[in-house]
Amino acid sequence: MDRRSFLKLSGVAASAGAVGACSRASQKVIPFVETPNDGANPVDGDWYATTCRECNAGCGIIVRTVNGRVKKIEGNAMHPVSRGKACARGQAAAQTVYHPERLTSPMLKGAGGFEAIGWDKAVDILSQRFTEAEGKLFFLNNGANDAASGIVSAIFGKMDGFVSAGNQEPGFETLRAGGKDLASFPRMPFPDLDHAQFAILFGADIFESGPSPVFWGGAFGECRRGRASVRGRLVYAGPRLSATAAVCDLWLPIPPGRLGVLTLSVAQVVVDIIITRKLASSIPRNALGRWSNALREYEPEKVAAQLEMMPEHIRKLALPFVDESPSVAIAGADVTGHANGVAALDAVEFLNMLSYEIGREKLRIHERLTPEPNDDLKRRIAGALGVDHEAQGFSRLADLVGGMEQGNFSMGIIHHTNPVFDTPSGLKFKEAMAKVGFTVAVSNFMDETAAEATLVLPDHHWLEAWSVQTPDFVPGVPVFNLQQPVIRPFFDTRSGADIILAAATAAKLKTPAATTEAFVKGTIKRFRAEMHGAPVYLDDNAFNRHLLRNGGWWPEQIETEAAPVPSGTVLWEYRDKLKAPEPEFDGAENPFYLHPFQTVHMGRGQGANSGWLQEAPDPITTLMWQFWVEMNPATAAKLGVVEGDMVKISSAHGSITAPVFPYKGIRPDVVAVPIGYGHTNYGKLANGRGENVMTLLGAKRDTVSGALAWRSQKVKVEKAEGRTKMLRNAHPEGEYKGEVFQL
Amino acid sequence: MRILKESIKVKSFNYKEQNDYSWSMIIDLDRCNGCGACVVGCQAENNVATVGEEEVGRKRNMHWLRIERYIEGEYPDVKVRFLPMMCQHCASAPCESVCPVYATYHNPEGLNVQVYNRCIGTRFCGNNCPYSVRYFNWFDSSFPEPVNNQLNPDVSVRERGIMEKCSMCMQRIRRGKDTAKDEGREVKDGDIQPACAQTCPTGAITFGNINDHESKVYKMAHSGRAISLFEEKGTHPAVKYLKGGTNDVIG
Amino acid sequence: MNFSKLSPTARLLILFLTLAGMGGGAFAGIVYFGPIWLTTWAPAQPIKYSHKLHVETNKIPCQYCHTYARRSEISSVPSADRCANCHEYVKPDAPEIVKTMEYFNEDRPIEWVKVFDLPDHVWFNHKRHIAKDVPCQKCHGPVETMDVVSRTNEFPMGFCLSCHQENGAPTDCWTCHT
Repeated sequence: MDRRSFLKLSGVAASAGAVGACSRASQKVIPFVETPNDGANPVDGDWYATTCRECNAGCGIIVRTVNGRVKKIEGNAMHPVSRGKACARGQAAAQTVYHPERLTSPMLKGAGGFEAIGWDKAVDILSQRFTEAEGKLFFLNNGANDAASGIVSAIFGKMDGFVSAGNQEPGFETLRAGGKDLASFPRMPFPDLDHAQFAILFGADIFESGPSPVFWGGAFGECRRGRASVRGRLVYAGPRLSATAAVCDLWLPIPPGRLGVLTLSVAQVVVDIIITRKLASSIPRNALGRWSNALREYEPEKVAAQLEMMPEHIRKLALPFVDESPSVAIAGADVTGHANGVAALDAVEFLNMLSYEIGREKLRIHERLTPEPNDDLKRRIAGALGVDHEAQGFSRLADLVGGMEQGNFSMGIIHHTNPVFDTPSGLKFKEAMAKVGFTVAVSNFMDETAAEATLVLPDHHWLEAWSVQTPDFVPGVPVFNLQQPVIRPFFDTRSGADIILAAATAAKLKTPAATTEAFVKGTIKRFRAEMHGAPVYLDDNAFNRHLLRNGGWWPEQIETEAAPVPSGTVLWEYRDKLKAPEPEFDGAENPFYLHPFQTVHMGRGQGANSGWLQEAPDPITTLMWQFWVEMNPATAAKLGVVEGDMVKISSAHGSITAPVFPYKGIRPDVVAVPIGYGHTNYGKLANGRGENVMTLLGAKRDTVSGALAWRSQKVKVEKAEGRTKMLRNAHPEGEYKGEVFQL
Repeated sequence: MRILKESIKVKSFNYKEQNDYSWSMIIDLDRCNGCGACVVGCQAENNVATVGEEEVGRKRNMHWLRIERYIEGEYPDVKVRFLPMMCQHCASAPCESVCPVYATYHNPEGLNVQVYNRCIGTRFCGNNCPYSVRYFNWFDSSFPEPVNNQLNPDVSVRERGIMEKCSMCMQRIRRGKDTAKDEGREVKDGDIQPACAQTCPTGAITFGNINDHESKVYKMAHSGRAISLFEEKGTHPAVKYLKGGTNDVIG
Repeated sequence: MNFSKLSPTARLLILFLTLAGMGGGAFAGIVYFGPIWLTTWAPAQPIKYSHKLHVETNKIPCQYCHTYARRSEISSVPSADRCANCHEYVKPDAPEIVKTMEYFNEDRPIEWVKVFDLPDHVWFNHKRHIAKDVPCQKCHGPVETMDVVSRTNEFPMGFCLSCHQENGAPTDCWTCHT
């Protein structure tokens, strides 16, 4: 910028010029000590394949590094989950590595708060605690079966009193439980949106709460415009017009908790059509008759009133479901968020089964009723890691909290999860944590949970560390992800798992490996012995190279036929399950339904300390750096508030205040609050930005699976003092409308 | 008026016939789901600064690519639509004619160029842009140690007082051409992807050479769904949009 | 204008302004054309490496050490293992070699002082120029005759542009500025 400097400086005394020019002298060229010999070109940039760990979706990514620094993250084009794409949160990880607030030294809580201690001392303290605990300890992570959980299980798993639990994203557990009774094997539903012509999304906010917004984004793109002659059509049913609903062709504002009723009503019409048109010859006719009888009470005329729809609209929804086969039904957050979630999911899976049987003869749609291959693979990898596959549910977490309260544990390890912030206040995690004598938080940042812990261990960022992982949600093929370090650790951090291994060794406990890297390599070996589908033609070294080069292993041909899936049996006796129980609500006397929702940027709150994510406008409100509550303009008018006015939302568990964003795409009896705001101890950018919606929630659970029913809360809303300027993204709203959207 | 029209014609179509490459971007509005991956991807690739809450309140945020959101209709018949908006690289760009120092001009490959070291910050171009896609650096960008380690070495960090905007990831185009030259060939369709197109999960953004009649962008631009924004202003954008469709299920 | 009619203060002011303008102009020239007095900029390096000895006397080609020049944007300064390659056997006892080997053995990079530099807003690709057989000396001067490398070129834009124009290389701004 020499010319500009000239304009700026011409008025300044000339002596300053010499100083400016001399500053060049201080510039250094620092070459490598040894040239990387793998054909790398580190000065232009090298791409390393690894796995994104911002959420548990398990997207394969490639990372550009220049001179040993992370520059850019892109999707791995060969990976079946990410398909070469990445989401905003994945992109932002490139900046998080160099976050100025990353923890760099172990800290021990003393009388005057945290005190930095050396790594040797941390290992000493930890090993002493390991000896004293005698197995009475718990391990809590974010629900991932990764190297750290494998190492901890290998050390402590066999001891009495050890409990391992996962603080998983809400909803996944119910998704896993749904549809189980429909077939003779357990499975995670995987609706094939890619090849569908018509899709009904039952409260499925697939772009916000996933699982895997990137995978679903790709599936949606394929469905909508991926084929030359077909434009996929989507219908969204749910109380709020989410960003996912925005791309759908139609939005049906169904009352909260009634999606099961709508599903069964559509199913009733579909079954009738199957009978009258003699479709789906593979279904036994007597089964059809039984279903028809069982579904009689869900005839559109009988349920239309409680769904606040016209009966003919339900019929019009069912018709394309048959005619425009292949069609799919996708269940999501608004199904899994209610106490009748598993029942509704069963219904959705039933609808999918009907759709598959209708389209079976003519369509190349994936096998509808097969065990999810990754469920099987996950179990295998869990076997290779030696971890408890079932440890991820909310029930286990609730049991763990109960145990903590009763003093069953003398220590606990909390690994990269923030339950003090992101579990409902009704669970009382923070109170229970205080009853555990010694808690270790392994984390990159100081957060609400680490602040409550006794010892904080700064871990490597996942871009600097070794691990393995399996996607939480998977596209019908088994995927084994490798997470490899793409740069040397930038700060003075240590791998949390390495520290645990070192402390366990010092405490004379049996350890599975000396380092995490060795453990990962051992796991790969064990996994290969377990995994029949893995390429046998590669020797161990070649397979390791394959993993490093591709960031994991999956069948090369991403076709469902190629996946090693045993065929299963559909239980045609599936009849008693065709019920949609009344939804139950916590605080039922309150007038408004609380609708906590995930945004595309914040996750469960992890994104809140990223400048990029805070400044990226929310898709619906376009708000930046800001917290809000959405309500229908009619509701806002009734409360006497306008945009930016503060309201107080309260339940029996707590209350929050938030500025109002009137939004036409929400039912008048619902208020929607984004998850992930309201940090109190998560750094400069996150702290004090809004309030935490989790403080309003009790720990209401699904009646069947025991999963957290995170949308079954009713609340009071009243006008509060004050006003806030809403920071909407500025644009000339409406100006292009006529041009762009005319048909 | 006649002369003006002639000049527009000459300016807008000359480069297309005389050069190998004429870059163009097609955005399928029917695919865009507003997720904002492109916004953050662009920020990461191009060293775009964040300005913080206070400056956002003064509408000084710098995203080269933003997603405009339109809410139409009344409850319950509400529609929300998204439209990604970045520099349209107009063939006859209103910004180019007002720059007193030629810091913005049209390059032979059909791109609207912003030369940072020429810019003196009059902000005329930003005022004259009908799409409001030029961003002014009100402050020196904030990349304190250690955040600066992430900065892309291929893109200069802009300082206070100059205009910046989408370059269609010029550094990637250059690298793509460079690789093609090394291999002694022309750039193939799909070789070059700007950061937004590469990251877009739904595949809504396509980039390519519209002079190549076999390219995806050429086919999409002639698909009948293609429109340009503010066509009546005669800006001839290189970015084209594919109209969204609606076919309601009910009613 | 009649200066004699002006008050002494005004005359002084005019004199001051004129001087300030001249000073500013001179300063602008320096900023614009580069610090001319620094063209003999030859900083002391951590290792007293002689290009003259290696290139002129021993005929080692430039790209034997600057390996990335032909395949990258950056020419790269050789890593210490490249020095160790030869000097494990060649004159291992010379004091400067001992110093170099210390760096290598202690896994410490040698922090060379930059002699040739381009501002942040200029993008240059070594690979392209090597591919066109542009001799290194065209930009870097007769480095092979120097014991201590000195800056012989400030790379003003005219220097780049005249060569680009002579050889029909692209002259679009975005070729070098992004």
